[in-house]
Amino acid sequence: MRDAADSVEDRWIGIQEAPLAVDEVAAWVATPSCGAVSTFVGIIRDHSEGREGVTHIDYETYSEYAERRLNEVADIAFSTWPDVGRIAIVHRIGRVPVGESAVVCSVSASHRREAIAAMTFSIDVLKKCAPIWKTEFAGVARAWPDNGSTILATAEAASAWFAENSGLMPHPVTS
Amino acid sequence: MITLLLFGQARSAAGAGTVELDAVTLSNLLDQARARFGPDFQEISACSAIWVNGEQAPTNQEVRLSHGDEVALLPPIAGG
Repeated sequence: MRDAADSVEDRWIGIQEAPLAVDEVAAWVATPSCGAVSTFVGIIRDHSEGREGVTHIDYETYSEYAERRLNEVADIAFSTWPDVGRIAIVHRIGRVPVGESAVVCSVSASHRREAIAAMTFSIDVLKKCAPIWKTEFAGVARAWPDNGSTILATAEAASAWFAENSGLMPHPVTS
Repeated sequence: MITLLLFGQARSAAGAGTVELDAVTLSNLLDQARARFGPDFQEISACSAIWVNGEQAPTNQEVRLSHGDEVALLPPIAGG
């Protein structure tokens, strides 16, 4: 984990091979003005659709652009929910064994509603716009997930999320 | 030379993550790659996004390439 002092003041965006220190990330997100922290942790499970005995997943990224995309997701979350204090999105790459964390997304805000909404937005949109891939392994047998998404521009992925989640917006969208 | 980056299943099908090719258009570059890497690669390339220097390439017009351009073939993503 890099030191929190290396982070831009209100965000901790990272792509790293080292195991994720989830508690450290969630603690960093908390600030005195925020009454809520919402944290999502994605963990490698031992099965996936139609496949049992998953032992590990290898993650790879288009490194030049993956971190940039995560920053764009945070930019949009901050501008959409002004009450958000800090955002952390840290994704692991390389080999991640079953039971270990692949991604942590943690958001603080004045109140729970904003924290939960901005956290949900961040993890959902990441999955649509960040150039990250996984290869699943069951021992030496490998497979690619069947449920991947065609990569979208960050703004495009965010717009689609807003259209589907108007109830989580700070001011419900009326059309 | 143009650098072609391959990720995920495309990298696996091609057996390489980075390929240097000589091409003046995007379609010619992709034709060369498909001819070189075979049916599995052709299949995954058909459902992949194509970026040129980090930008989604337009699909409705010919894209000219210049020496040093970086083309990336991005199969469906699966982060998180």
